[in-house]
Amino acid sequence: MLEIKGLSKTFFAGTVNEVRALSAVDLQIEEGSFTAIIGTNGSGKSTLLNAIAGSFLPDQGRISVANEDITSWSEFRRAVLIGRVFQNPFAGTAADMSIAENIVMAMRRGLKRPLTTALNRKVKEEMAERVRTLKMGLEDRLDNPMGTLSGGQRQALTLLMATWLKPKLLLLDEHTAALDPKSAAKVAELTRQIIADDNLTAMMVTHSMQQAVELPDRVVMMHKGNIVEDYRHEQKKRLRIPDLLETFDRIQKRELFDETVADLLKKQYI
Amino acid sequence: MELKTEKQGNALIIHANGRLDASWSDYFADCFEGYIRQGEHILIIDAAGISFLSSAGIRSLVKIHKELSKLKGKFTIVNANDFVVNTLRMTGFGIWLSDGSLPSLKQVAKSGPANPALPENCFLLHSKGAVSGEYFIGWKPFDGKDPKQYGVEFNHTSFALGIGSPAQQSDQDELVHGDFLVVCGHFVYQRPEVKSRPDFILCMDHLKPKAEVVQYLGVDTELSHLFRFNPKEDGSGWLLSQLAVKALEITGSSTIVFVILAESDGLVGVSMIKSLTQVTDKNKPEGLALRDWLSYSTERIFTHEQALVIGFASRGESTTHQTLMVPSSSFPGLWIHAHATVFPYQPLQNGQINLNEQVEKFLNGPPPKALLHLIDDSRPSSGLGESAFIRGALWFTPIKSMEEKI
Ligand SMILES: Nc1ncnc2c1ncn2[C@@H]1O[C@H](COP(=O)(O)OP(=O)(O)OP(=O)(O)O)[C@@H](O)[C@H]1O
Ligand SMILES: [Mg+2]
Repeated sequence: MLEIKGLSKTFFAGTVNEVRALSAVDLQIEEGSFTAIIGTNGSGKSTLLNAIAGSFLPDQGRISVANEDITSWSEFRRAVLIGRVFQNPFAGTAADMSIAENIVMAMRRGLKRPLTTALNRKVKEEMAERVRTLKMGLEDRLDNPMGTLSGGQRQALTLLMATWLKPKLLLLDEHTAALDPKSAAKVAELTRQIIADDNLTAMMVTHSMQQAVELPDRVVMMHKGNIVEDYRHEQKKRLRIPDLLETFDRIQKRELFDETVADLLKKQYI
Repeated sequence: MELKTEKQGNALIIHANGRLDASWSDYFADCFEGYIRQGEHILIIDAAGISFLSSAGIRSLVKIHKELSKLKGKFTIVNANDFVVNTLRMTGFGIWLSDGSLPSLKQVAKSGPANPALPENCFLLHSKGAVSGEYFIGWKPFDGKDPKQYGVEFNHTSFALGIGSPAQQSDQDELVHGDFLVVCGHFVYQRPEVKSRPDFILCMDHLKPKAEVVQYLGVDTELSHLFRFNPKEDGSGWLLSQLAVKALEITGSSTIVFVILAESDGLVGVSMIKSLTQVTDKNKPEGLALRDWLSYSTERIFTHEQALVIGFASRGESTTHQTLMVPSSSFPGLWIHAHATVFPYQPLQNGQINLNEQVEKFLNGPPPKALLHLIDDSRPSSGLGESAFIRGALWFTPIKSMEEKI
């Protein structure tokens, strides 16, 4: 479904602040699979998602979706294929517009010359129908401004909107991180449900080990712009939180293995 | 619930005050687990201040009772009020009650030392004297030469460490040399792989572990001494080298083999993640490339877990077997090579315990967590120091000579 080959991105290249955010990343995502991306801060998770969504062009590498090379497509053009939800519940929706109006925008996403989707009764009923599946009572508040909703409610709606047109690929970047634990659990469950019901292909960046272990069917770990672990199939099935912590620990140990350690071990590992 | 303790003879008196009910029973049991961990296995509960005892409280007492029986310890309840006495009697736990107030505590005669020359807490297990050991150097890391291997079979009196591979495997599996240790013939080995866990082969009458070794220090003996240690007066644990020196001093020998089974105060060690015997001239690890072959703890690890260590220590003039040992940074003239494996913590019975029984108990329990080649990290400023041990048992035997296998 999604195929990434040799994807590289360096920020501030050639300066003292140079950061190699993606370092020749190869990744293939199968149709209908749900992949979590985990890794320490600054490991390149968001950069990977941004590169897929087309927020910037990569320095090197190719990205294709459904056998179509989209590397040079604009972000706008990719929006037809890709739905996104960010960490900030206030991103991606307009606070002063009503829920219904926000949903209409989602329905027109990626269209060059948007057809005016009239907010007639039939459209509104269809909307209410789908909003009802959130089980938050929001179907009765479609005319309320988005800004009056709680973070959890907004994030649930944003998720629904991002998947309204059944995108080829759903990208979630820590979309539950800014929520209180109860709302986060609710949105996580909703995520699982929508992805399963619509059989979506999804990638989810998360810092929650629990989500990484419970929700997806594949877990990819990034470190310093590289994919360092890829748990899938049977390996993913037996993956538990302590395994992930141990892997983080191992990566950190490797970091702390410096020249002085190398010298010490050459003398002592006899 | 408030608990105050007082040491009397070989017993610990715990003055308990408050309600022993559902909200306090876990706390109560945890505190007792702490006393047991500190080596207090004879406990007297002064229940004068216990106003209420519920089923949850009884459950915590049962838990403590079970834990203590495994260690041949016990507890007694004294000064209980009528309500507590009746509750215990009716639930069938009247046996825990003592009739008197505080029982008079006999100062139990210290078992051992059979030999007055031995220090306190040291037991002479047999007096067959020093034995000869063996060593084999078929390979040294980083010299780029092809390994030579040597087949060994272990029995109940085998104590060894080194680098090798279990020999009992199907023909399709190639030998992969990794760090191993052998205690009472039980072979513990960690295949050098990134996510590797130690594996082991129990030594049984009909199944003797076999290994192909490329590097080996070993001895065939029954260990002659046992030293039980507790934290020093200032509360600090024992360094690996301090325990080795203790054993060298007690035996007066210049070389010993020793086994430590103890609560760890932090281990410092390295494990192979890719077998260094596969190094050729082409892929020789230079500098940081060593990261791909060895994993270093970079902090003191497995604190408060149970460590099983086997080591060889030597002091004095340099001898050839010392090419398999590393000089200690804390004791000039002391050389050590030690390997450790780690189990989830379980308290040890006090006094004279049997090494083989203990090792079998641990190997039959939850699996070992790691196998480490212990390091003396004396790097200036960032060094982690040596592995250390809080409380446990040290077995050892003097070695009169180490002979090279060729
Ligand atoms: N637009 C940008 N301009 C400059 N540097 C950037 C930009 N985006 C990311 N970086 C840098 O690239 C590296 C990877 O960042 P990225 O946001 O992908 O990490 P992340 O894995 O998502 O981390 P986090 O868990 O903190 O969100 C970081 O060092 C970051 O500072
Ligand atoms: Mg990010």
